[in-house]
Amino acid sequence: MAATPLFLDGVSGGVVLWDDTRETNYLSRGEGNMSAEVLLQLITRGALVVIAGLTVFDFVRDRQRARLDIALMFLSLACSILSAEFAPVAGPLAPWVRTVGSLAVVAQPYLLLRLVEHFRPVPRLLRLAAQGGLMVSWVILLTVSPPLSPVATLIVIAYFGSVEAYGAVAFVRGALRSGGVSRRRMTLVAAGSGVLAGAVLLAGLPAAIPSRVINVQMAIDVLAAVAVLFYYLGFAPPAGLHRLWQLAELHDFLNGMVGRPFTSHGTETLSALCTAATRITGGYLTGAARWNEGQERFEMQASDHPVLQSVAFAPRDGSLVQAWHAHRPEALRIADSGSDEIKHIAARVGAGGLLAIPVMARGQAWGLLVVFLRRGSLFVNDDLALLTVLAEQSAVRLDYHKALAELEAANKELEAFAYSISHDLRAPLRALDGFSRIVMEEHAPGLSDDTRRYLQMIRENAVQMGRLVDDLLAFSRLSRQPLKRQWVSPADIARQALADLRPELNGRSVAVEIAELPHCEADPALLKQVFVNLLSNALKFTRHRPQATVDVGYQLAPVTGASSTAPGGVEKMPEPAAGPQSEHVYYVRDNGVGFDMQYAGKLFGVFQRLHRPEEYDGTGVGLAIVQRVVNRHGGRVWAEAAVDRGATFYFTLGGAHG
Amino acid sequence: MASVERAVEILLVEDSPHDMELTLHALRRNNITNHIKVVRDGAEALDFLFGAGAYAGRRVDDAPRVILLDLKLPKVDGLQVLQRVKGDQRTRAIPVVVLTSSREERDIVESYQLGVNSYIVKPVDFAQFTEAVRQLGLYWILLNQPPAA
Repeated sequence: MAATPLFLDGVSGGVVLWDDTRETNYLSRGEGNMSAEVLLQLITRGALVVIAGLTVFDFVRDRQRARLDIALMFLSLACSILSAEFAPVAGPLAPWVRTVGSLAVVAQPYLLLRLVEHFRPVPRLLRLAAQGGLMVSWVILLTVSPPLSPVATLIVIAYFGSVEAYGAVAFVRGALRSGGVSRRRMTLVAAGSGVLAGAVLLAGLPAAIPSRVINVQMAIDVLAAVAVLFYYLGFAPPAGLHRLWQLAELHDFLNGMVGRPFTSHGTETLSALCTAATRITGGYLTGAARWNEGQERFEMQASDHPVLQSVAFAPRDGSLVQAWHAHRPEALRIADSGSDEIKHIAARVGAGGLLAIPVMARGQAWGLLVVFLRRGSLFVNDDLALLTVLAEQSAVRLDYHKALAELEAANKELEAFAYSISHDLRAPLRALDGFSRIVMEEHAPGLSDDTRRYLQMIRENAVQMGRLVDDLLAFSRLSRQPLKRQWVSPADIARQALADLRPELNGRSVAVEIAELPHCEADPALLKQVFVNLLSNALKFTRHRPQATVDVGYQLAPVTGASSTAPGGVEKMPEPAAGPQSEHVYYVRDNGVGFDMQYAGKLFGVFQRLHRPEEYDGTGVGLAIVQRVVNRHGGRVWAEAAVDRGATFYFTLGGAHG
Repeated sequence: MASVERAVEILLVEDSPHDMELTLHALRRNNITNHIKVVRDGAEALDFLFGAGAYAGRRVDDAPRVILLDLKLPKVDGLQVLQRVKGDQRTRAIPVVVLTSSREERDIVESYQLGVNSYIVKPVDFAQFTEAVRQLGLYWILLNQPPAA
């Protein structure tokens, strides 16, 4: 078989050399055993035809040029396969059918080159050479009737193998440059092309070295099958694989975000998104631009390249505007962007394509992610889909940033407000009290009793308001101060609190009992405030008892749900029980006037009082402070009482306890 | 008593006319009436102390025995005045008492960091206020022994 009649069969891009002596047309073949070799070929060919169908379907669904070129490339392969199958049953038309198949298959490398052009520039000379090679091959196939001479065969194979190999290398380089789902697909395509080129070269061996007959058919068949598998995964991956790749990218992206600080404007998040976008697309640079409604323009908030720093652009009626208004990610040409600024930047970096991904935050269009591409992207929908997912995740963080910034601003405002109250609200009160007093003391003889009483009322009100201001400030300061938890002895702290209240015990008969309390983790200063407030309440509301009793103690109670932390939450005391799921409940109990449980809901509100001011003084902030402190410790506070039968205030402190 | 008779014993820096009057009243009531100079903002206080502006020609070493300083002042605030006084070799020795409405921790901390001699929060209750001013006058004018001018 020194000059084996060669006929480029369609299978796998002309890999399998047609040998008239082989029965490889399945339609015309009669009954008989199907060898493994033939089965492999059948599968390979069938798969290629199916892939071609899938790529055509893809193109029909979304008419992009890249998809058209992919479909054309596979159609060329499918066409040659089908022609080989149908030739034997075509009767007198058989030679023509075979010729059409051959013409189609030699077009494949050129079509592959066209695919390469979507993501990287192809040297002009090479494109011309490929076109020339295709023309020469076509002429040979059209004019020379089979069998082809070895020289003609070599020419065709040289064209085929070299362009195919160039395509494979270009895909490898493209894969190296890109990232994300594209990278995986490009790598598979590159592998497919590489294997295919190898198979073609292998097929050319017998023609190139006529003296040595090598049976390489089986190897060629296997290579062809592998190439088709790679092509399938690369060009028409199943949806599940797609999702898997996307998830892997998302996972990487989110992992990279972990531990990044939350800055108030979300610049960190946006920068990370830009870097990821450039890496994934293999593009030049990416910027995240926020839409400024007032100025009607996009303003760059973050980017991964200094060229984009503080750039603003206002596109007019371009595809950028369309993508923005439709909230749809879009791949567009620089020329269609409708923005001189974008064109200018593209010219500076030499970008040939643009991706625009709308970023939505809190359900509103926040801005655009613009990716400047080297050229374009072969699998642009993958890039867009992946970037959209990443942009969505970034938007979640942006929302968080925004909420955080608002919170910070509100806190600052509150601080300024409290500061201003502290300074400015007290001064007029001092004047009220001071001048009333001066009048009362230094002009007493001229004053009627009523006048004196009125002046006294002015003074009392001024002083009371001063107290209110102080309490309110203390209350607001509580939420701003950091919690300094440490192991403390609540009994010691309660005793200190009682010592501070000693003046209130003067002339009274009060039995205060402070039990030994289990140690706990708490902020000592704040816990003391809790005891001061509860004890001073207990002392206040037992004022009219001839023999007042105040007990400070604790119980062990099973841990209940957090539902009872609602303000003013009042609940029944659970039965004491020891166990791993139990916590210490501290209480302050008195035998004072108590209160009606139906008003218990108002107990812990700021400025809420259950008694008339002339009965018991106070500002109504004390219990609100108690609740704030307890809540900040992760604990709960509630009360039990009955009118004239005393009150008990319970609280827990959450966290570890002894 | 002080070895040198000073022109001004107390420099009161206070922008609120009512607080000024109450302070003067409290001082008067406690028989501290002589040589009180009132300035109404931080800039005027610095002019007075360093002999500038309207007080050009006034000698810096003719220092008051004590400065009663409000913190919230127009133009130059109290903390800035404190910083200038304690940062200057010539005025560093003058005792400065911050007399303010602010109970804010950061005001207190910053004042002490700047070298204030005493920090007093003006009480709303006039009786307490009078008592505070009395003790203040007693201590800084009568008990405290300043270096010879």
